[in-house]
Amino acid sequence: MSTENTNTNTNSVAVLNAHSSFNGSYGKDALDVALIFGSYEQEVSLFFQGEGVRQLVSAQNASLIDAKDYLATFSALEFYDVENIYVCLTSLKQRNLAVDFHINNVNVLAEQEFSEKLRQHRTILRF
Amino acid sequence: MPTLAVIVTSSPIENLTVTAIKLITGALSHGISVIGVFFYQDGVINASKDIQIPSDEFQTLRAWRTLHQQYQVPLHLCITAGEKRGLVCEGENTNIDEAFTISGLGELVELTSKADRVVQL
Repeated sequence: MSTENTNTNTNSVAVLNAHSSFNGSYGKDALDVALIFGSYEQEVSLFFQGEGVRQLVSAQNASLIDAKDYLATFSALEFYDVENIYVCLTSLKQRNLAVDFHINNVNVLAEQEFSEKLRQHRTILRF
Repeated sequence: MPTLAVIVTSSPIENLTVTAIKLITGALSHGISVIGVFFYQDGVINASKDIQIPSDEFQTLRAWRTLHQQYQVPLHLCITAGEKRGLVCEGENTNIDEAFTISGLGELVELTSKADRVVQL
């Protein structure tokens, strides 16, 4: 669990994922946004809530539905210094999903903490 | 003067786009400086000159043109999202309206870091 201060970071951006992996191109569009903020050395965090938590589920096979496997690009996040990744525990529980993800360093937060963490960001972009 | 950036992700035939236009118009009338609109996802379709909306329905493109011409609001288009949706930016065959500027996600970073507040629709 993170212990950083609870003040709003002056220029931080939260990218909030609320759609499942291959429901439209929301997930990929959100990832592209997170990566571009990272490449401009802006402070950016990734959040997963509601159906969005499905983007973290391990062993998804995009090729079965001829979709681009943008989930594989999640591994690039750390190279773009996107290191703050948060998932809502309540959303996982509601969907009976295990705390087992295809990327490392995901912070699992209870609803209240998730909400507080989100509010620490100056801008929230939701996809 | 407080500054606002707006992100539009809905197509020109969705009412949410009208809401975005009303939000921007309202902000301008209250002395807020709208430093830019960024069009992403289906929002990029707003820049298309090929869209024909029946005359008794809201004329979205006309409203964007007015915002750009009267208030010099920059209208930035994510061209990657645009090309996926049929927008052509090269030469005389372009179907992108002149009020729009061809941009990329880098512009979103610029607007987000400069504006006092960002509103996404």
